[in-house]
Amino acid sequence: MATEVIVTPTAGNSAARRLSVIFGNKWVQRLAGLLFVLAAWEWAFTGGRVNPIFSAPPTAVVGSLPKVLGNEQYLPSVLSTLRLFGIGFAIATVLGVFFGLLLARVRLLDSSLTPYLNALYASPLPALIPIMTAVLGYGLSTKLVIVVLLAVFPILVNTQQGAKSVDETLLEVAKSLRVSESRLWRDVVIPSSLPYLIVGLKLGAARGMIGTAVAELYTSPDGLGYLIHQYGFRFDMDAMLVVVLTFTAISLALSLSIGMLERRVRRWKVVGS
Amino acid sequence: MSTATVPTRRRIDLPHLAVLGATFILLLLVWQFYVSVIYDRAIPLPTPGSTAVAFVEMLQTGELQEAALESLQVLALGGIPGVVLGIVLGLLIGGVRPLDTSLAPYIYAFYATPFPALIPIFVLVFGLGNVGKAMIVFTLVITTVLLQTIAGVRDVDGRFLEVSHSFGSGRFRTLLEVQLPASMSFIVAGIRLAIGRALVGVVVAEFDTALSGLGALIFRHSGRLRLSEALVPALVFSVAGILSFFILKRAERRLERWRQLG
Repeated sequence: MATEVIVTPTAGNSAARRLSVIFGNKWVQRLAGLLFVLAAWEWAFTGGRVNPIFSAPPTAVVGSLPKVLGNEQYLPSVLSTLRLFGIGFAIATVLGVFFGLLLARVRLLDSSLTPYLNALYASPLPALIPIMTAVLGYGLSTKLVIVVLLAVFPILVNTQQGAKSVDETLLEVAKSLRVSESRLWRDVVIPSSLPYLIVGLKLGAARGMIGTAVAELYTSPDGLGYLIHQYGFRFDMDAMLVVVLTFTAISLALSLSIGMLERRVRRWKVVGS
Repeated sequence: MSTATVPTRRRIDLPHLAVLGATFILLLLVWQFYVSVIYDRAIPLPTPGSTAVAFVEMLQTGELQEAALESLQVLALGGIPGVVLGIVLGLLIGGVRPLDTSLAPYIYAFYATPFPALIPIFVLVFGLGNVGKAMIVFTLVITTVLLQTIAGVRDVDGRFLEVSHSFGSGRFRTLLEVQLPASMSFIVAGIRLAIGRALVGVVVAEFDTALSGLGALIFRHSGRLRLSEALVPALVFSVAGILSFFILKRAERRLERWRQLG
């Protein structure tokens, strides 16, 4: 495309050419981007531009890494956050897939409930948290309800769409061969709705992590949310950011691994079709 | 008479609407029945009836409108600059390939951060007032709109660019007159996603500070176990989320046409 650097072979200046090849490299550009982001961050937080109490330049954040990672509560907090997310996401996946398939299969349920499910999907559900804690208390169950409520709708809606998008001819062939309902599901419906399901899982995981963070910060502090509160009470911005970056790392790891799964499934699809 | 050419999709589907209306009434009845007959714990749960009564009362005292206005103010204060800057920066970064490669991964990493974890930091730095909350909204909105704009510009059909280039348009003009319109559906999708995130951001920030806005109203009434009164502002948030979602989704489908060759 027109935006790429054009290196003309007639230009005798080989040093300039080598430079443009180096800076045309994707990884060099990414590294430059990282350096730029870090430099801008450092610049903004040093030289008295920000109240020193809240100042958290990257050098200070890196400097507080040993302190936070060495905190005996750090590892248990990470595990507690992962557990809350893991259990909630698993429940959301089971519920989402089950009801998604059910709705795709039963016409009356589909036409009567789908708009309401979409409405719940579009609602800012964390608005209900104080009501949930008033009714259900501050225990694990409230936190799980929050994670499940946020994660379930993308999974449900995408599974439903996937199961409804099964190729009609495939269904007809299967029916004319008198394939049993269970084989129809195993060989036709599930494989062709898998790519949709994975998109649902990806969106659901991202929302589930948001739910996990809200639940751990705004019901009774727990896991990484508890750590953020603890460091917040001491105005320790650097340490807070290390904990936030832990959240970021977990989210990115999730999103990348589901993305890999997505590419795998796409490849099957291409081969199969 | 060529009735066959009239698209039937636009017509209102009466039986379907009847089914939807019946479902709605059924859901309300089940809710009312559950609370008044089956539920037997001490904490009084809201019912459709009590929520409606609370809604009218809160309108009469004016507390609902006042709180809604406060929340809306925060949303506008942070959201409008966020959208504008997001589009401008998105065009710039998306239009210049090396900027895209070098910066987009870090914007994405920030976007992937479960944002409620950032809210205590914002409250700490910017205080409990409107500025802190508006900064939260601004940050959520700008990252979302920025990433979608970049994706839109990146995805513009190469043939559009070739035509623009061969008619002698410079890069700036191509960006404004070809890439911007072709990215509109992505940008609107970005605004839709941004509103969803901003609503969650505002409500959670208002819980955190518990001073003003609909979130504080939910928080205060829940604390006194007046759950019907707490549910009303939560429903206002829901209606805002649902309306903006469906309106913008419609706009997106219309603007999608600008991406395709005629």
